[in-house]
Amino acid sequence: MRRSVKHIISASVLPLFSGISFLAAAQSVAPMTQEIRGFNSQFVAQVEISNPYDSPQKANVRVYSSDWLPIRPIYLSNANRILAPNQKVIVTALIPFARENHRVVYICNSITPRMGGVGQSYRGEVCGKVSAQRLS
Amino acid sequence: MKSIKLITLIGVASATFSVSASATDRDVNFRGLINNSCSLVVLNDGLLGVSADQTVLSSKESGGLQGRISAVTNGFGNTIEIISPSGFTVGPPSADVNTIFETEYSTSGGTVLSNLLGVVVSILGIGTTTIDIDATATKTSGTFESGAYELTTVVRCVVP
Repeated sequence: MRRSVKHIISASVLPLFSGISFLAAAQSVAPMTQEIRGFNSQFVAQVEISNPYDSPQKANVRVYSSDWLPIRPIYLSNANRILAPNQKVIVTALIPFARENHRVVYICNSITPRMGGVGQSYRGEVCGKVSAQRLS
Repeated sequence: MKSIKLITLIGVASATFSVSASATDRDVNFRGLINNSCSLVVLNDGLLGVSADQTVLSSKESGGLQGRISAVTNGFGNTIEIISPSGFTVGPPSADVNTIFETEYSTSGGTVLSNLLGVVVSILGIGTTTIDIDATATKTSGTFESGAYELTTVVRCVVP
């Protein structure tokens, strides 16, 4: 499965998507928007997530549909991992078009730090928007 | 007559050279890309105070403290919204019974807003915005019993 996923990524989809650069500074999610075009029945999206805290934090990556229903990607790298302070990681998601020619999904990175409060905690969730168009 | 021919020849030759020189001009383009990004940092969690009649647990009650989050954006179009909890993450079994949850927030810095309900989506300005958040749990009937309570509020930065 992993081999076939890598094959799909390298052979057909990566040359077509645009708007990705890994030059962003330490931020939680970048880019916040991207447009992807591809011929396959699935598309690859990549975002860079980072831990902006001074302590290690557990980052959870989830993918949601345009109406905020959770969807399960065919492949999702680094979905749950502990990031060192200011560590940056590329998350790759392989997402099906699901019989649609245009699909919008959100790739969300959430971190719930423990900041010494009592009774309340806050989860910061940053969501990058991916708009994918299937060419036919 | 000879000198006129010579001058003409030199003129034609220099014109030819100048044409060929300009034909070698090329533009060198430099391209750059700064990704639109959003970063959220929880500066401090909050504290829940309790009302005298034990029907309200809130950061606005005596002994309570607002949570504070910093949002940093470098582009237009990013928004912030506060998603109220649907229940306590820690609490006695009766904690969620007849309990409603609400959040409010105010912002300062790059974006200035005050006393908005959490469901209101606000556009963030470029730069650093500090978000102060209140969370409240209210019993519509009955009271909160003794025990430890904890709720988690989601702060979401997204391009709609």
